[in-house]
This record gives sequence, C-alpha cells and structure tokens, in this order.
Amino acid sequence: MCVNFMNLSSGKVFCFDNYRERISEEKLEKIFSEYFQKVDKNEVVEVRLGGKSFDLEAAQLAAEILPTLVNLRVVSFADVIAGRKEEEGHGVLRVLSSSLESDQLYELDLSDNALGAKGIEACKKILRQQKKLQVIRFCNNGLAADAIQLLVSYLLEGGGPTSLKTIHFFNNLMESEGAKNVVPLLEFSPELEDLKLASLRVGEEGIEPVIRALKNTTLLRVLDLSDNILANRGANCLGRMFPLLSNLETLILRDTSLGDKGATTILQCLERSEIRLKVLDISCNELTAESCKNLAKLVEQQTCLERLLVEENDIGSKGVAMLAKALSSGAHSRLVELNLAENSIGTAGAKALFSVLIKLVSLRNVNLSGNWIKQVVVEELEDALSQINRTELTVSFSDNESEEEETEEYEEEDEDDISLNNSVDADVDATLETRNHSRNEDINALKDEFAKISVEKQADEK
Amino acid sequence: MASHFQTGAQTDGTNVPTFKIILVGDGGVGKTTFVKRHLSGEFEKKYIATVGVEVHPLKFHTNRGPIVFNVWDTAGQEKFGGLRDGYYIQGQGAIIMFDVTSRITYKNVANWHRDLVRVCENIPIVLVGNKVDVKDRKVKAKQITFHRKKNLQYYDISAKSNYNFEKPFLWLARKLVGDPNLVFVEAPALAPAEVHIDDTYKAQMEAELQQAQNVALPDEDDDM
Repeated sequence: MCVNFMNLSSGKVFCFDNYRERISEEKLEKIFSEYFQKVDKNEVVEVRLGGKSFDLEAAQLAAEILPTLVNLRVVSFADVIAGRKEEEGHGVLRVLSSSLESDQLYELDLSDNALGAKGIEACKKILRQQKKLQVIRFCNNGLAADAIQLLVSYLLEGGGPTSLKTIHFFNNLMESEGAKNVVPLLEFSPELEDLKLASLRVGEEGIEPVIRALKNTTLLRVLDLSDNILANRGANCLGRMFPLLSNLETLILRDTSLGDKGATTILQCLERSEIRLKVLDISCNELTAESCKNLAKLVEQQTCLERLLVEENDIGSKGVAMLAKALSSGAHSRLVELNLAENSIGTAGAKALFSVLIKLVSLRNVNLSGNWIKQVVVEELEDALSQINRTELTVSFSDNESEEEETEEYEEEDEDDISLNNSVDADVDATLETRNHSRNEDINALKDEFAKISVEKQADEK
Repeated sequence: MASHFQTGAQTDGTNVPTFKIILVGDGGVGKTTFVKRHLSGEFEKKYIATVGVEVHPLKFHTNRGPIVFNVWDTAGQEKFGGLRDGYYIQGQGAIIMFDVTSRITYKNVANWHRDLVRVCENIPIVLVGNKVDVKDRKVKAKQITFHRKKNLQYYDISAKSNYNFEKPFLWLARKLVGDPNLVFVEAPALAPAEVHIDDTYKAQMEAELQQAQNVALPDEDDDM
C-alpha cells in the first residue's frame, strides 16, 4: 500500500506512504491506477509527491496525470529529488512544474529540494504562470541571494499585486543581501497574513529593509523572524512598525540577538500598540530580569495570550516573580503554555509562579526544566499541584539542580530569594485555598485551535 | 609504505590506505567549500550517480606514509531517513558540520548524528562548527555541548580562512590508524585564504572553547 487516502471537506488528497525510496515509472503507474480506480479525478484537490525520489520517466508520468485533475488547487513537490544528480533533479522539477494549467493553484510547496538559482530557473513555469497562489513554501532549498532575486522576479512577472497570504522561507542561505531581494515581493503582497523568514542568516542590515516593507502588509497576523539577527537596529525598526500591524497575533522573535536593550524596545512598543497577541516567543535572547519589568507590563495587558515562550534566557527568580504578578489578575484565561526553561530560576521564582497557577484556568504546559530549583522544593510544588486537582496541567522540572549539587550560584540566588519568599509563601497558601472551580468552556475550542497551530508548525519544520 | 599501517583500510591500487569519510550537515553550512579547499581532492573528484554524491579523494602525508580520505560530500537539503543509506554504508569515519551563524544547523546536528549512527554504528565522528571567522555568532562556544554527550571530537573551523582545516582529518587519521601519535609531515596544498582571522581572536576563541569544555553538563539528553 503506497498511497494514503485523505479526505478534505471539499475534496480528496493524493499522497504517498511514509516510506522514502526512489520511484520508477512502472511503480508510479501502478500506484496511480490503483488510486484512480477508487477515486474520481474530479474530486482530487491536493497532490503531494514528497518522500519519493523521481527520475525523469516517473516525473513525465506524473506530468501526464496532473493536468487531468481539473480541481487541483494545492500541490507539494517538496522532497522529490533526493539523491539525484543536479541535472537530473532539476530536469524532474522542470517537467513537474510545466505540467499545470495557468492560474490553477492556490498553494505550492517546493521545500526540501536542493534548488539554488538553477533549481528556481527549472521551476520558472509554475512560478510565472500561477498568478492566484495564496501560499508558497521554500524551506531548506539552498537559496542564496541570486536565487531569491530570480524567484521574486518570476512571482512578480507581469506586475500587479500577488494574492499571497502565506510566505514561508526557512533554513536557506539568504543572508542580508538576499533579504533585500525579498522586499519587492512584500511590497506587492497586500493580502499577506503569515510571513516566516526564519533561520536565513540575515543580519541587522538585511532585516531592516524587510521590516520596513511590512508597512504594505497590514493584514499580517503571523510574523516569524527567528534565528536571524535583529539586535538593536532591527528592534527599533520593528517597534516603529507596530502601529501599522494591529492585526498581529503571533510574534516569533526567538534567537534574534535582542538582548535586554532590543527586547525592551520591542516590549515597550508592543505595549503602546493596539496589537493583541496570542503567541509571543522571545526565547534565546540573553534577557535578564531587566527586560522582565517591561515584559510584565506587556503581559499584564495582553490577556489574549495563549502561549508565552521565554526559554533560554537569564531572567532568574526576580524576573519570573514579576511575570507571575502580571499573570495574577485572573484575566489570562486563555494561556495554555508558559515556557520558562533554562532561565536560572531558583526556589522563590518557582514558588511565585506556583502561587498564580490557580488563576490560569486554561494552562496545560509549564516548562521549568534546566533551572536551579532544589529537589525538595520540586517535590513540594508537585505535591501542591496534585492537591489542586489540575490533572490536565503538566509542569516539567527536568534538569534542575539536585540538592547535593548546590553551588555558589545558589547562595547568590538565595539572597535574592529571601525577600521574594516572604511575600510569595503567603500567596501560595491563599491561592491554594481559593481554588477556582469555574471551568472555562472555551478550553476545548482553544485546545483544538492550538493543536492546529502546532500541527502547522510541525509541518513547517518537516 | 602501506606496510606501516595495520588497519581496515582499503587500498586504491597503489597501496595507499584509503578510508571512506562521510560529510554531513544542513544546507549552506559550507561542506562543499570545506572539501574544495584541498586542491588535490578537487582535481580528482568523482560523482557517484547511483547515490547522488560527489566523492573527493583527499591525500595526507603522515609520519607512517600517505593516506587518502575519500570524502563523500552529501546534499544538505535532503530529508533524513531511508534514501540516504547508500551514502552511509561502509563509512569508516564521519564529519558532522554546522554553521555557527545559524542556530538551526546546530539543532539539526542531533538529527544528522541519529541518521548516521543508524547505519554506521561505531565509527569515529568529528563535529565541526564552521564560519568562526564571522563575529556575529549565533552558536557560542558554551552552547556547543552535543559532542560531549555523544563522545565526539569537536573543532571550530573556518573554511574560508583555512583555520583548523587539517584538525578533523588528523583526529580521524589517528583513530582509524590506531596511532595517537600519528602526525602530518607535510601541509596539504590548500586554496589561498579568502578571509584572515587575527591571532588575538584565535586565542580568544580557543580560550572560550577550553572554558566551555570545563563546565559540567546536565543529565544525558538527546534534545539540545
């Protein structure tokens, strides 16, 4: 069985099984004929050819079938040339991408193929002729500045605005020079809602023109710039854009070299804007407690937050206590995930956080792994958690320092903790008693929505 | 000369011991740039169409005679699993490369390692972080811990400046020949450096790396 049958509400999806292999024309013919004995060609709306490595003959066969699927709207040619010689691989892409009628497609995924500029050239027909594309994905394609320039020129050929709502570039060699080549695409994509430009080795000087181009994309809901360099310059530039980006719901700035200074700019500008975030990720940015004053102010106001990710920073007990206070109002009824892993958080910080968990009725995952919380305290907190009967809530404490490994760092941390402890302990007792019974009915709906987000995320990462 | 070696090496017909070395890592980390620095290898490279890979024979002169590493330079844009086994079969050593200017390439080291040891269970593996000439690093010395969890050797390298070019090969040669005192007696002919790293910066990087090695690691964990 080499085919999965999937049903979309509006039609059928053709895709292979998960076994990665080289596929011959003969085998493909057999798979197609078995599939189309059971499925009417008019019902097929989506075709995914990934996971099998095509030779030219197999590609030609697929190119004969594809134009017969008149209702085809979504095509993935991701991962179709593994292990092929460059010339053969690009030949396969040329054949596949020349097989479709103009303006037929809404979605195109060419990820996980070694394209470079020559590969983009091989795909030029599909890139030039599909003027109704709403979603494009180019992840892990070996695209440098020259390839990006060519790609953008094909997509914009004939002028006029694109219909693009989703643009994903991830793990390419874009660098700052290539980032500048993306700018025209953003300027001509006024319907853009979801922009991912992540892990592209773009520096401050390259990210700035990209951010400025966002003035044309005011419908933007999702912005992911992670694993590039924003630093102060990028942060200042992005901060100035926020008044125009009031539809933003998801902001991923993980690993963008913000530091306290850049983060403070971002957080203050967010606070002053009309943006209501569902997801904020500022992990891996060398943030200390200094950023947490502004983070707390922002979080207090952002009651729509569903996921807050601050992992791999250095906010300490002090920082997490400020954050806990900001979450104590009971207004954050949608928060599902809180990630504070690897943040030098000690006992008092953990206790401060636990004192407000009861107010966070939707919370499912709290990550406190890789911190400095003593084992005896971990046990205490786990006990407290089981007492409040929140079985749906998982708190991870893995890789916290065990008692016998106490070091000087603890002593330093403990000094900070003493002042915090006094206020925190009282809170823990109080909140554990005033247990909130009201279960939010929205939780399930939210869970579904959240599951969708993580599925999309996984799909992207693949 | 070959009689100086007692190893599982193949010979190439001229009695020079020859080893298959697999080079993996994400797209754009600099794998091809790295092997092409060695000029003799570039001259004689072969393409093996059945598995889609370019093989560069790199010759090194040791105190026990010449040896050749057949370096299999694989495409980084491919997904892991099944289709890649042809690259790995009969591999005798491996280099996993990431780019210190891109976090994702370091995160994927664990995936490359898993993909590799699935086929090659017990071969010597070197982890190398390339592009250390770039000052805006995303992956700092203290964050490079994977090799310590899996007992690999680690080197900072900069292909463009030839910095530490021979280090991974020397370590692999010592492991594969089984002689910890093996040395290279002649420097390989390398393409001229395109960038230059000053000595102060080299010393600083080496000190940071040394310091990072001395920090205790948390519990064994596959994630990074």
